[in-house]
Amino acid sequence: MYQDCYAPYDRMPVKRRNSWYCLEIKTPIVPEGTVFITQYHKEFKDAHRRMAIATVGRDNLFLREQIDSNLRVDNIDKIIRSNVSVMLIDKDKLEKRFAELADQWEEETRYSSKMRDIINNPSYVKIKMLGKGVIPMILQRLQRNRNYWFDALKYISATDPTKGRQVDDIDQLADIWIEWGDAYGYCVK
Amino acid sequence: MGTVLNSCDIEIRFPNLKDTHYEITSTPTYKYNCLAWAAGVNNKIWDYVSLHKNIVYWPRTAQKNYRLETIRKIFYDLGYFEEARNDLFECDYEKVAIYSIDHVYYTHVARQEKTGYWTSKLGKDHDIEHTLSGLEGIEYGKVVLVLKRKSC
Repeated sequence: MYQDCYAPYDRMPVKRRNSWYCLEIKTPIVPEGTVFITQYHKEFKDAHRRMAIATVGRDNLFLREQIDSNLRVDNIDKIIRSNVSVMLIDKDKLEKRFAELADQWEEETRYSSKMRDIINNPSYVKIKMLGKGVIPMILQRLQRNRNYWFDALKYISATDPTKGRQVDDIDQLADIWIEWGDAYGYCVK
Repeated sequence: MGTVLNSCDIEIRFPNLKDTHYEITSTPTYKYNCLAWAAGVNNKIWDYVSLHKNIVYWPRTAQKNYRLETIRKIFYDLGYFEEARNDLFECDYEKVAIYSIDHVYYTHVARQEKTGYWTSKLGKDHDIEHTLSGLEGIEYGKVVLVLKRKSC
């Protein structure tokens, strides 16, 4: 009945009439036309998960219908507003923008030995704001040219696969992130 | 591995190198920084911003900032008790030179070799052998302090 289901999501973008409400999604760029079932929370700590069906549009997701009968349409505004949003954007544009910022960051911090300056560089901060879509691009760069991408990866992914792992060398740190990317479908290798 | 720079790239960012002795002495690496290298370490980044506990090192007694007095204290604890009057090579002494742009925060540290030349790690890239003035300029500022300690 429903094809190409991607799960799990924490949250999803929603279009509601003329207003855009977008939520962060966990997986990489999802193809247009994909239909999926998703769960979302009314509030951050709300254990009562609600279900909905959404369809990926050209640059957004549409909430089609709710499966959970407890969810009323007029509740959606309140639910969505409580979440931080990230839009699906055009992949080519994203790649181009990332490449510009990444090249700029690498050049500007090439001779800096101060980690604070490196990760607070304006181009690096802008990369962090680009969202999860740049994770594969970062990981590709990390494979090709080892650099201090770890802070950006942690921030964007909201996770840390190196936590609790024995790491003796910075290359191991990079390898853990690359393995993580591969395991989570960021198609690095 | 970092991006391999050729001499032209370095000379663009450090124009003084063109007219002074310098030599690229290593392949690029992000495993250590100039501060670590000046302290004789090539397998850790010396910084107070942590990437992971075994990757980055910062002396416990040092304040968490990049101020000149903090860097001075770090090298004091390594035995660099004295301020050198000049950057000339002295047989029984080892020297480090600290660069700054604003005389508040450090930008770079170099270590003197037995040849009399200095060795530096340029950020994430190469080590080079050079003269102190070779790295002075927009990128690192000027040498503001030279410290020395008795050789072992």
